[in-house]
Amino acid sequence: MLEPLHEVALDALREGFAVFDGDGLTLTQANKRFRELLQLPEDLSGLGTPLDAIVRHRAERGDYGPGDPASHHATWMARAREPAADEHRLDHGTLLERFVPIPGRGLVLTVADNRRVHEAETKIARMAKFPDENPNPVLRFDPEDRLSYANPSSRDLCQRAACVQPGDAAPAQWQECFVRARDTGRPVPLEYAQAGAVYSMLFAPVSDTSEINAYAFDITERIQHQRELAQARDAADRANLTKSQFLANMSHELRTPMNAILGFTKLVMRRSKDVLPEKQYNNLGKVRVSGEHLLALINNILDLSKIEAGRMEVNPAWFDLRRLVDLCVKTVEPLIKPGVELRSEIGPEVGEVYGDEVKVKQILINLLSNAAKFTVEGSVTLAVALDGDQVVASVRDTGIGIAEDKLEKVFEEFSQADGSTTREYGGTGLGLTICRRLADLMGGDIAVESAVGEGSTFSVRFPARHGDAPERPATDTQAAPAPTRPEKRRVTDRLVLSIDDDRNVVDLVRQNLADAGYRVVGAYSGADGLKKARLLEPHVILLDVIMGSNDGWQVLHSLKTDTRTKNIPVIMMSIIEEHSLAFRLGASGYLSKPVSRESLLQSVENVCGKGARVLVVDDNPDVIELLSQILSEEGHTMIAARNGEEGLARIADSNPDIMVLDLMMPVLDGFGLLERLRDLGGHDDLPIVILTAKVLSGDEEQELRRRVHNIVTKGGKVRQSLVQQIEAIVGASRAGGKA
Amino acid sequence: MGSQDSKLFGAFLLKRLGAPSTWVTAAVVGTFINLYGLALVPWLRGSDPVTSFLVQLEATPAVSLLSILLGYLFPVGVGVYSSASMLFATRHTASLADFPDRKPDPVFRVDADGVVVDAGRETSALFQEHGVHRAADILGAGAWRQITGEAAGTAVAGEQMVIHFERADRWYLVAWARGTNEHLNLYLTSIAPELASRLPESPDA
Repeated sequence: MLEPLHEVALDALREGFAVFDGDGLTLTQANKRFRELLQLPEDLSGLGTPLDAIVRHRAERGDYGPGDPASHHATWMARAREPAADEHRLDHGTLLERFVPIPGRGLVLTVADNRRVHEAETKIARMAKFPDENPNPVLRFDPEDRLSYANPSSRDLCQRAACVQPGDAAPAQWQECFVRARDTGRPVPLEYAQAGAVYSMLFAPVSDTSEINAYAFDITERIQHQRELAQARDAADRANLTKSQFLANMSHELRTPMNAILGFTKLVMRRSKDVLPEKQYNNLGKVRVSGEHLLALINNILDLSKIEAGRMEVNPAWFDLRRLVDLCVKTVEPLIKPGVELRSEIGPEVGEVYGDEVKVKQILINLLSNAAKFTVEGSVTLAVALDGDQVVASVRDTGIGIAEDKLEKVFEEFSQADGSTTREYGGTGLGLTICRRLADLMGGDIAVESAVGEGSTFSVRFPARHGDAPERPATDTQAAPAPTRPEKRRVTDRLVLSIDDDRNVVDLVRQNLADAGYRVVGAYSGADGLKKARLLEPHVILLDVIMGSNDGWQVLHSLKTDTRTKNIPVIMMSIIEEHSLAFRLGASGYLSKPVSRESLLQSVENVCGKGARVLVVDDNPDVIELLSQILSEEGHTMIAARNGEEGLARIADSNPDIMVLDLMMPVLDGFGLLERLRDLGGHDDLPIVILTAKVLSGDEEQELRRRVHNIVTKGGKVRQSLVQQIEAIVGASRAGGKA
Repeated sequence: MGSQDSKLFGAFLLKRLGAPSTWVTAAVVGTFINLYGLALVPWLRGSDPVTSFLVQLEATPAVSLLSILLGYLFPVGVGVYSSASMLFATRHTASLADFPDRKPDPVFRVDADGVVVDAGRETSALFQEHGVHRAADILGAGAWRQITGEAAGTAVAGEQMVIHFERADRWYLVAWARGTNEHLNLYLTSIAPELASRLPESPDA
């Protein structure tokens, strides 16, 4: 037995400790740790147990590894009988055992717990597999830049770099990266191309050993793929450019003849309604309807193509949204079916916004036109309000509505809610697609809510300030969309003869019309009026009905039977309501007293507010002929020029009030004319309206908008647009004239 | 062999030569070798081993003694060589084991359930920072399914995919390889978002 002190000391050891003594090598001493580590059963852990029994038990338990237990038993007993103080790893490396001989007696068996070391070694072995199993090349270079390790996946890279065997020097290009990596202590990337392959490489410094670890992956296919993509993109860009040029040419070539077809058809219909047989007149109507449909389709396809080609640009400027809403409502008024009410609701906060007026107008007119088309009773309402920094314009109708499952379909190309819709209501099926694309382009969106039989609401939302909006110019006027557009020139003053026995009425008329640029002459009796009418040949006569000696009906009759005055428009002004009689006698208008300034001005302008001298510069004789007839009907005088050079000459000798200018012409085109005008100087106040079939680039359009009043596209509603533009210019001129 | 390796080998040689077990082994194995050459072979040829040895010793004493000496030295040489080989293999393993720790981008190994079992030092820190320990958390569930499906079936060595490690908001190119014990090694290489947009993405990216 051990002395207690020795036993305590032995039990305190971290290692297992046992003494096998005598010839039989029986257990004479053992500490607790020995029994714990070997996990011997009770009957084998007591003193006096032979080593042979313990070894046999452990061999059978597998402590000495797989294989024949008897063989293990023999081997280990042989070791025990001739102990050499060597360490032996057992139990899968978790135990470290050593036989220490006791000279002349027996042996000491020490057992150490090697589990932690074993785990660390196992971990190292597992971690060491990472680079070998990496499917991409992994290399290591020693401080002398020689290869010290390359994983199996590196073979191709190493052969290409002529750095195959350990000890081979790294390529010079890599060594440069090594230097930078060591200097900066940071990984250095490199795209290494060699012998037809490209590798993306990363050289990472190993700070404590000055070694370099290199990680690579083969990007040859990826580079090739990118190259092919780039080539495909270039080809697509070229094709797109060709397509754009084709579209621009087609736009011109298609719209120009359509312009003539539609324009002349309408003229013939208007002028020959009473002459043509009804059937022929109806046939012309079919030509007009089909032509308008074809033109709408062409315009929509061109717009869509332009959007898809990325050539539709947003051209923001400050504009009055209220004015635009009024304009849109007026534009679609003729499309509203009888019995349907057209309303606009504009929030008090709505005013000037910074955006693309043309695109907003296109969207609103499209939505309103659709609403008008599908609404046979009830109302169509355009409501505009601000929602934070967004404008929300909603077009509500009480039309046929759209089924819920068709709501999104209406925005698809060539798609309407129902195939039968196209047959019944017409349309190209592109309008809403374009609206959505335009809204997207402006940074907004468009949505629809609808119920079958109840109506639909299309809401378009767009920023009130597109992009980085500049401050609104203080001098900007509501009538001027482009800030640098030339000032309006004053159109020749018009003479108005006011015949009324009440001097106050004449004075009132004078004041009201003078404000608008009209010169008013008064006559205070019928006879005086007739005399002055013959003498002055005014542009319009305002005639009172009830006068002292000679009533207005007699004066009107006299005026209309006198060759010198019969073509002068006469507007009757009276407190009595005899409209039918007035028109039967040849009056051009009728105003009921008391007359407001607005209605007076409107009536006068309706009958004589035109008459501007319009210079048309266009090489197409059909266009000139058409405009000649349109302008003549609207009361304007047209001067024609067939190219830019002739246009310059006409400006000099005819002093026109307005110029309508084509862009694509021989000798000197529209752009050249504008440039020459600028160089000549002195014509900054000449209002110019561009009339073109050319598809303008964003830059061209922006440049033109700085210098001209407006741009009208051939093939659209030329008559309406052009007449509106000319009226706007004349109106603005008169308004400017009072100042 | 570099100068460091030479020094290490020298120290190792001295240690082995100083160990008693080296010489015990040499004595036992050398004796067997010499007995085989000097006694067993002549006896099998029908000669008297002692006579043969004496004749040989008389005729070429130096060669005979050298032969006996080499018989004892040979096991020493073999023992030193095998031990040195093991030493250098261990060093090589230890050297390779630090690759994952040195790799600037994540490298890790997952078991069949996708649980991370080994990872480089930086990788462990990254995963710990973002509280992830499963491949699906790192790669995205779709990418993990795709990788395990392809790895089990038609995986192509070196095949890669782009993933977005959401929690760290980083883009990686992932390569994978089948390891031992159903483990899967995953090697990530960080890439710029611009490059990521030009490469095929994983189902989650």
